Order: sequence, then C-alpha cells, then structure tokens
Amino acid sequence: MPRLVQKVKVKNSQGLHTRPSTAIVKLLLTSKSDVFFTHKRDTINAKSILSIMMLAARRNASITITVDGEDAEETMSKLVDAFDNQFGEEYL
Amino acid sequence: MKTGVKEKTLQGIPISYGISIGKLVYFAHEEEVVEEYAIKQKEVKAEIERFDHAIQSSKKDLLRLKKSFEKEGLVEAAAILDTQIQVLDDPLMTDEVREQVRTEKKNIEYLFSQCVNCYVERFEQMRDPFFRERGRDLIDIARRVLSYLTAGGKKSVATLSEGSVVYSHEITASDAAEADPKKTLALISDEGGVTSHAAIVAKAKGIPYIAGVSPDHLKEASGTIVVVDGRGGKITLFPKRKTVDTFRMLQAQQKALFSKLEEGCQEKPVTKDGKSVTLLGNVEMVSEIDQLHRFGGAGVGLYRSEFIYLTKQCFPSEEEQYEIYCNIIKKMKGLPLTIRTFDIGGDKFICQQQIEESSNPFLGCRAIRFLLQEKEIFKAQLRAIYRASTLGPVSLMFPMISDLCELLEVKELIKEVQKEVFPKKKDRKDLPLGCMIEVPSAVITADLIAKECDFLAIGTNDLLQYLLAVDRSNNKVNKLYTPMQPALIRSLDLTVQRAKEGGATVSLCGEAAGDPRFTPLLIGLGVDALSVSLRNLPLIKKAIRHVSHERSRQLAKEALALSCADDIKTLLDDELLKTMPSEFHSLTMR
Repeated sequence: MPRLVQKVKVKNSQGLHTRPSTAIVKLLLTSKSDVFFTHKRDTINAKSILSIMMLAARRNASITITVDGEDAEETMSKLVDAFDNQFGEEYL
Repeated sequence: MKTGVKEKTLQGIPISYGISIGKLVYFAHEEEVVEEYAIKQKEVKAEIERFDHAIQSSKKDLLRLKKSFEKEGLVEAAAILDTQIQVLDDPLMTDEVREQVRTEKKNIEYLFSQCVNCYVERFEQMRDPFFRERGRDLIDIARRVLSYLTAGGKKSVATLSEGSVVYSHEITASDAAEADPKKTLALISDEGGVTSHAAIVAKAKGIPYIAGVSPDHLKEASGTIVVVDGRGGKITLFPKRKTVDTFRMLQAQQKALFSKLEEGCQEKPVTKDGKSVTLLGNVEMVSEIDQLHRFGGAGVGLYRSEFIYLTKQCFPSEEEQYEIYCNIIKKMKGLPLTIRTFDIGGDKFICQQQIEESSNPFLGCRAIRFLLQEKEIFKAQLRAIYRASTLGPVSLMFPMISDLCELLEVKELIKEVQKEVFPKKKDRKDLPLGCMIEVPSAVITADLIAKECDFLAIGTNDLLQYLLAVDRSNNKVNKLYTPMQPALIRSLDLTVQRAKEGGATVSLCGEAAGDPRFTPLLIGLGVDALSVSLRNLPLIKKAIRHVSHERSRQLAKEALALSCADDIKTLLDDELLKTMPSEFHSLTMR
C-alpha cells in the first residue's frame, strides 16, 4: 500500500478556518485512504473537521499531509490542488 | 377556557401586530441542565441508538434549513450549515461518544455534552479570535442534538406543533427565521425590542409578536388556549368563550380587510388632490421581491444587506455578494433598489469581526463606523454592488452617518472602488448616494450632509432612541419611546427643510412610515418617499389615497405646534378616524 507524504502551505488569508476545513472533509468523504495532517507538533485525522479547525493553522502555516491507502495518489493530488487554489475561496 | 380559572389580561410591548388564538407553548432557549446517571450494560445499545437518532434528526433539520437559505440566496448562511452538518459526522464527536457509552456506562446526553464542552474549551483557549469563535458554533450544534436527546426539552421553533403561541425569554432572529407562520401563530418574549432583527423578521413573515412579558407570568397558562392581540400588546390567558369568539370575529374581519387592501394595491399612491407620493418597500430577503411586485411597490427604499449573514457568521465574500445583488436586481425588473451597506452592532447581529465587547454598543463602533474601520469588508461590499449595478437602477445608502467627514471618507473609498471595478473611465458609473439620518447630529447638520449626497433617509427607530436617550428594550423607560414625541416630529421637519437647502430628497424608512396615522403628517412635512415593510404597503397606499395634500400641510403645522406626545397622538388618531373608512381603523396599532 502506498504511503505518501507531502508538505503544503496554507494560502487562505484566514487560515484553515471553517470553510476550508469543510472543503477538506467533503473532499475526503470518498477517499479510501487514511489521511493525516501534521502541523507543528500535532498530527490529526484529516477526516475530522473539528480536528482540522483545532490545529488553528493560519495563513502561511506549513502542513505535512500523510496519505496511506489504496487511493493515496489520487487523494494526495486532490488535496494538494485544493490547498493550491485556496479551496476555491474568493478573497475579500 | 378552563373552568374555574379567571380570564386574565397581560400587557406587553406590541412589536408585530395581528391577532392570534392558539396554544401557549414554552420555547426553552437557555442551556438545559444535563442530568448525569448510570445505565446498565443491556441499555447501552438503546442509548447509542438514541444518540444516532438525535444526530440524524439534527442533520435533517440542518439540511432543511440549508435548502431554505439557498432558496433565499443566502449562500454564506447555507455554507455555514454545511459545516455544521460535517461536524455532526465528525468521528471525534460521534465515535468517541459511542465508545464512552460502552466504557463508562452513563447516559448519552451527559457524555455528549461533556465531550462537546471539552472541545469548546479547547477552541476557547486559542489565541486567534477567529478560531476561538468556533467554540460558539459547536455549542450551537450541540444544543440542537441535545434538544433531540432530552425529551420535552428545547425544540427548534420550526418543529413546534401547529397552532402554537410561542413564549420564551428571548426570541432570536434565527428563531423568527425558522418559524413557520402556518404553525407559529404568535411570539411572546421577555427581552427584545421593536426594531430588533427578530422583530423585523416576525413582521416580514406576518407573525404577531409581543415583547416585555416574562415567561413567569405565562407559565400558569402553558398548554392552554390564549388570545394574542399584537395591535395593543395584550395577551388574554384563560379566555372566556365569549372573548375567543370576539377575537375570532376580529381576526376574520382583518383577514378580509387585508385581501380587500391587496385588491386595490395596483392603484397609484396619489393623494385626493393629486399629489403623488413615492411608496417603496423595506426588504430583507430576495424572496420578498415577488410580494413587492404583487403589492405594487415602486421600488425598494431599504434593502437591509446585513441579512445576508443571518446566522451571525463571517462576512460573505465579494463574489457571493455579487451573486446575491445580481439576483435581487434582476428580480426588481427595472424598479429602483436602495441597498443599505451592512448595518451591524447595537442590537443587530454581533459578528466574529466584532471581537471587542463594548459596554455601550449603541454608542460604539457600529454601522458606518464599523465599516470605515474594516475597510476591506466595506470595499468588498461596495465592489460587489458597483459590479452588479450594471443590471438595473441601484442606489447606495450608508447607515448611521453622524459626521459629515464620515460621508466624505466613504466617497473617497467609492472613487477607489470605481477605479477598480471600471478601469476605463468611460465605463465608470455613478450611483445615487444617500445617508441614513438616525442620530441627532445628522439632523442638525442635515444641510451639510445633503450637499454631499443625493438623498437622506430618516430612520425613525434609531433616531428616536438617540434623540430621547431612551433604551427601547428597557421596560422602565420605554414609555418615552413613541414616534409621537414632539422632538421627533420637529426633527423630521428640520431634516426636510435642511435637505431642501442642500438639494437632496428625503425618504422615511422607520416604523412610523408603516403607520397610517403618520401618513398625512409625513406628506404634510414634505417627505418625498415612504419606505415601509411590505405587509404595510397596501394599507399605506390606501392611507395616501384618502388624504389630501392641502389638509396634510395644515395637519403638519398643527402637530408642530403641540407640546406633548399625547396631544400629537390624539391629533393623529382623530385625523385617521376622519379620513380612513372606519373598517380600516382596527388594522392600526393602538
């Protein structure tokens, strides 16, 4: 089973707040892999919206994504894209 | 109608008029105390099922609400509910609680609220206020789930049984938004004022609402039939058969009158002697525009844009606003729309951006003051409006201008926004600009403000409160809070005179505009346009058609010469009796 690790940056101006967290959890609804985010010293289950929000990751925070499972590659690329395009957020 | 119990009348503050007869039901808002007790091994399964059922029911509620928000075009509010739905699915909440039932063998509501409290605490300890605020969301979600767990406990207003007269300590805007007028016949609360957002929503939905009545005084009649008369703020407990019959008749009469008014509402708002008055509607939701067309309104004089984030959450992005404004402008079908920029603070929604608690919110950083401090939020709104304005006639209005300098600063910002939205000078569009006149300093300097903008819109609700320094939600002093105050009538006169000097038109969009007793007075004072809640539009149109301009001017002179509110009230009441056909008298607030 592939296990992928990649670092991403939070680009959203308000960090991983409600909307990006919701977007992440929704995106992972169909994923068959285990997904974890590591921010500073915390590693959390990325399928838990509360856990993501409790990371309190702000703009420019660095997140290490770990994906472990049969669709790891697909899941990782979807996640990295989402981080890159700021979860589709339009900015104030 | 219980035997042996005496009929009893309670007096409250009338907020939204109309008559209702229904069953008195308590709506608990405050935190319920969650009991803790041990369960047996064999009960574990049932306890988990109870929990799963509560989660599923809460999810269904949220999905239903989300749909209704989407229908209203409230994209942001719908997105927030989406998040809440995800939280209900969060393994941290659900799996953990299920596991604890198995290991700790305690009742589920206790374990669930412990679990929630623990996360709320974690959120509250966060340094970033933005994340800290999420703790409150969690409490909101937990409340909903708990309501399904505690039998007979808190329910959503929407799930109350048909024919309910709902009473509570406080009715929030979202309670009122959730209330179904077919089921919730009336609202009664202890706290709350005429101009709170809950009141505005109740009025828009046509639900009678009375405030200033403590649940303690109603408790004894809980579950029995009561009569609510929103016109005068009276509640009759244990009504006699005769009382019920009288009110049923009144109710039927009013219904008939309203349909009669509706029939005549495509007529023009012109006085008997031919003076035409611009009659506009106050609107909170996109869906109300259909009603505006049906009632023959000439446009929207006040679109309360702050309703876009009804669920007290963060501000909608420029794109979301653009989408909403486009939608509403298209629905206007060419009629003019006046958008008031976000009016927040005071009794209006507290939003996460307003982290600082103020001990005196009405004198604090609200409305235009807030927008000028949070320029990015303000500019995003202005950009969205300017972009959408290519689709139809739009005016911009700014809340709570108290100093000319604020308007000048706004105009500078607008120049920047115009350059951003229309890079080519030839595409640049100027929208009519208006200022709300709702603080005494704006009345006094109305001539200066009028020179710098196109129209003034008097907001009588706030103006009255600032003019008399009276807190309208304080039962001990709110007797002073009546639009019949000579100080208010004189302020209206002053504003009209000074606006004319400055070359601006004057509209009035407070409560007084929707009260037919004021119609001749306002016409007589020289107010150019009235903007009223849609429910009152047919009635005010009728009122306009029954007065003469000449007599109105005389009436205004008489009113200005009177020295106390009671005398002005008598004058206006008598005038209404003389001008309006008697069948309409029962529709007005006493």
